[in-house]
Amino acid sequence: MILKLGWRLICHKPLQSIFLVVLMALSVALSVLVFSLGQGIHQGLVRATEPFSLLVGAKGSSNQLVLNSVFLQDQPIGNIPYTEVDKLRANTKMVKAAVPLAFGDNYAGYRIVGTESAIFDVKASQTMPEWLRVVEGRKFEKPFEVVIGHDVAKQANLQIGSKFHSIHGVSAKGKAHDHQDYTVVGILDDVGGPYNQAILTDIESIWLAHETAHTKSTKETVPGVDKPVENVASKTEPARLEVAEDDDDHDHDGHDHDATNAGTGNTNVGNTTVAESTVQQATAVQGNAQVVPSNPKTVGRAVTAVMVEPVGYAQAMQLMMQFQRSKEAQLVFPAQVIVQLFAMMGQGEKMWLPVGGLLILISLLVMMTSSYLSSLGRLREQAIMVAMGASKSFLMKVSICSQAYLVVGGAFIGWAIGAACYAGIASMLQHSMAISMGSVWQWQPTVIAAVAAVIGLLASIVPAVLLQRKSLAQYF
Amino acid sequence: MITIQGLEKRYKDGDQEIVALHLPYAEFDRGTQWAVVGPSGSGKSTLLHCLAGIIRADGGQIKTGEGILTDFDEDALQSWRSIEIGYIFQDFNLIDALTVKENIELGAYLSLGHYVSGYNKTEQFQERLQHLLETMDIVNLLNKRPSALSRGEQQRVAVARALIKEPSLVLADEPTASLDEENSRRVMDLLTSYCKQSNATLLVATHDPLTKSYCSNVITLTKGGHA
Repeated sequence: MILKLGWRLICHKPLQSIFLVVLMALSVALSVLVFSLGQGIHQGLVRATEPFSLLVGAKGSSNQLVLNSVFLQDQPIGNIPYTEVDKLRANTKMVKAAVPLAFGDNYAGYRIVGTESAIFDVKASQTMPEWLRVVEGRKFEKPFEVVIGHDVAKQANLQIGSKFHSIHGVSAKGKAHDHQDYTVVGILDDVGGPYNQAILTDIESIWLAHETAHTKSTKETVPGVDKPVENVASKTEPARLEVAEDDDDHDHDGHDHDATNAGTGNTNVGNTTVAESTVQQATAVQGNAQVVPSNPKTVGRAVTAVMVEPVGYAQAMQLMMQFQRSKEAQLVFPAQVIVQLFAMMGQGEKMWLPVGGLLILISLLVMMTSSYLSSLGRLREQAIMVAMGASKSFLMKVSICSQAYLVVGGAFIGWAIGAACYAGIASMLQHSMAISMGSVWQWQPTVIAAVAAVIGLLASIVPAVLLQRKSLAQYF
Repeated sequence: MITIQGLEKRYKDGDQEIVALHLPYAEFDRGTQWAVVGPSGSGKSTLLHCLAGIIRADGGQIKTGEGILTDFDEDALQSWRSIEIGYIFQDFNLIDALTVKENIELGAYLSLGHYVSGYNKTEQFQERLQHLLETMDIVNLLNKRPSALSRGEQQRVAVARALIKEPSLVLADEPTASLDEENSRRVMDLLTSYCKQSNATLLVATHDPLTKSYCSNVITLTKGGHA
């Protein structure tokens, strides 16, 4: 009877009841959403960086390096010579594996990532399976074969055997490299991260694609690089530089010119001689150890970044110190970059959570006041029930029950709204950046809603107690 | 039997103290019907309120079969009201948030439901309820809200709500004041027949000669609350 009576009393004043429920719901929804977004984005970004223990790239913005290499966003900051890869691989005391990455082209907005087959051996941690698993088809074995990410296959409608032209730069509206087709040979499993939107290919594809398409002067540099890599080659190939032609009809933003123009080895000008002297130069430039290029095709080439798996944490710190002395390249911990980003974002989160808490408190105060005033309007009914034999505890229970419906209902609806908004935003981020945020079913937002409901219930006792002190005699 | 001795109730009106009721002596035997008559301000409603335990008298004594009512604490008064008293208001005072059926069930719950879980599911209760509904002629009104009923229908529902718990003392405060003659007769017929069948005591505060005619006994209060 108490439950029914409490329900009936709030239904009898629908507008007031709806207003109070909406007030409570919006307050809870804001807190749930802010908290969930903070947690979810953090989880998504951290998950995305897990396969990237260390990153080596050109000097410049570490944020941009991580954004470009890990999240496939933003422009590449510049290039480093392939010899950096060789040097890292030679350092077996500190480096377990080094995988090069080259960016510069795209298809339908999806970044084409030039790399090597070693990328398929990368694991986020020792206990986990490989990060990139081919579930359909096979890995690429030669240039211009691609393995596409899970989202690329779905959204770009590509399947095994599909062919396409790459587009220069990072925008889908760039100039197409229509002289060469890429062929899809494999499709990756869902990795739950940005590389769902990657198109992986042999790194040589990138070099060859641009080598064929671009004959522009090798004096051109990529922003962010202190010393153009082609300087190594230019010292040995003055003839080639003189015959270089300008190519003005395409966008060079993010374009990895240096990777193709530096010491091609395939040109008709002093081919073999150039290659040898370039190798000597490359070897000499590396400093400490004598590093022999692992593959002649990589001589004089450049890459955008190198994924490095250190032997251990101590070795990672030693590598860090080494690269701090380097003038050409930098080494970053992607996870640390994310932590720093979050330190900045966290200021905003720290501001919004108290605001959310304050809103909940205000809405509870409004509800309590409204409940009290509303109950004053029901004093006559209470007097009737007293005459019929109702006890004080019965009246208090009815009052609290009415309030409970509003508070608990509002908290639940608020939790649902917050969760729905979070799910919507997570879906948008998933679609646009392939960042996989945490599940909507997290316990903390549920706790937020539950705590708000409990506080509201406790608060509802206040008006019920105040009413007990009212004399009902005047209503008889 | 209910015995009243020296019952007094006073109210403050600014600096003045007004005697709302002064009743030196009265005896109400079980099963009798009483009309409480007198001009406005004579304390008719105040007498009913004191007998129901809704307000406390400032002096005197009310003896009942359950004890001295004027000495009861709040819990005892609440128990007295829930079990022994069937109260009928002048303005019906049905709860509009509830349907007719729910209003009557509330009346039963506040009496029986406090003490007996599942009381409303017993065959005995269901038979009594059905009988009451048929007697009051409100079977077809069960799912309606009080605001959708006529005045006569509302008062019959109020009577049903008061009588569902089979009180031993029925207190009706101007039950026919806002009814026409036909409905007045109907309501008084219902009240008096119930009281005769159940051997309950009936006290009706009234101005109306027709209502008064249904009661075999009369107690007259004068201005200042004197009997």
